[in-house]
Amino acid sequence: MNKYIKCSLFFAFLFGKTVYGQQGVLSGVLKLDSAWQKKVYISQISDFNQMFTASGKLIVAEGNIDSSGKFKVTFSAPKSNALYRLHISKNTEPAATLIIGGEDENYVFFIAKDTSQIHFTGSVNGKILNQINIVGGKANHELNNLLILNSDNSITRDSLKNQLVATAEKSNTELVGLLAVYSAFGLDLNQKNRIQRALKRYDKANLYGTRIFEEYKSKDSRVLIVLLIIVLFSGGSLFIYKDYKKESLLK
Amino acid sequence: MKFFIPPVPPPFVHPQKLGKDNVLKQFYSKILKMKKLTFLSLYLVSTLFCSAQTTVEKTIVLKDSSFQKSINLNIKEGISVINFLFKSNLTGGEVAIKILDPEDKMEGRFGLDAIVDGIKQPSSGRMTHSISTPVAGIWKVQIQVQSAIGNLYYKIYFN
Repeated sequence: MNKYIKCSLFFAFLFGKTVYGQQGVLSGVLKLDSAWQKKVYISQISDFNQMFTASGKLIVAEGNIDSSGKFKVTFSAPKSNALYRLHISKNTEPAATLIIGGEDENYVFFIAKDTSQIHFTGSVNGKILNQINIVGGKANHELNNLLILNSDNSITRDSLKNQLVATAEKSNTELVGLLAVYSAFGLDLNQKNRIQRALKRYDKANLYGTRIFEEYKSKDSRVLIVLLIIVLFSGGSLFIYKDYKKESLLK
Repeated sequence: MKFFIPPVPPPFVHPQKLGKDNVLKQFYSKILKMKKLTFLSLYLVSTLFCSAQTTVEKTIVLKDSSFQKSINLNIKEGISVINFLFKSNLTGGEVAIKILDPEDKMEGRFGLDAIVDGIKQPSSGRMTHSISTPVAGIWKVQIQVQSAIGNLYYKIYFN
């Protein structure tokens, strides 16, 4: 094998090990009737806009459900938290199928990173898959609370807005905080300022927040950029002027 | 041979001879006798005027179709519920649907993408969503279709 190819493969392996160093594990129990495929699918959601999109390109792993309803799936997981979706499909439907609403709702979300052990505890309340049944550390507890809050029709709009802002401020999981900001709507100036302050502690390299950080970019940083441009421009002008003066004296 | 003998009508009594109170009494007694008919008429009239349901429904066959469509719903105060139903099956291309309320709150989102690494791969789904006592104002349903092959059905109704 060409040594360049060997070298590229080595670096690709190293890169893969660094970014997707370990594997996450999702296990659980699902009792499905004959209408459903005895399979679970896992999709990686790398952008909040994809949360309710069905596509084969998002599916990163699949696993079989055995006769007792048990399943266990391993999937590549990055070092930092990422959002995933577990879904099932009916026999007559393709793997990439999403049913939103009703008793046949076929998905739940979870957060995982390398070495994460996520568990699905089985269905309750007539629904086949229920968000509350995802168990896996504080991150998933916070995610469940946020998703349940978002779908709660009994809560008033003002209360929902305040709770979303509070989640962005208090959440220990950046991914959940960013999802709360993404879900926020019709905020007043005070609420927007609170989010802007909360986002200061967030990692700006978090890809889930790319658009959010841009939207809530603080005015301070904009002023700093303008000042920096002015300083650079003045410095450059001064340098050119001195250079010009020096040349004039020499002449 | 038997002949049909029509029933003898009751003797006609002019209302003026009955007196005002007697006319009313007769009217009410007749209404009470026609209970079923009266209630049916009342029900039909109330259904017609009180539950003005509006339905927007369409089936679109997608043949490598690309388009954008926005449906504006004028939701007035007093509307008790809006129901949304979207169904789609794709063998290629993309469909994306968003439901936005008057405050631009994302009330629902649904998408299919049937292209994986440039290869067509089927994708299907449906969304049912009901919103009780919706906020009054203009609600928007945005539909975006890109090189899609398959079908799309939607039904939106409110009352």
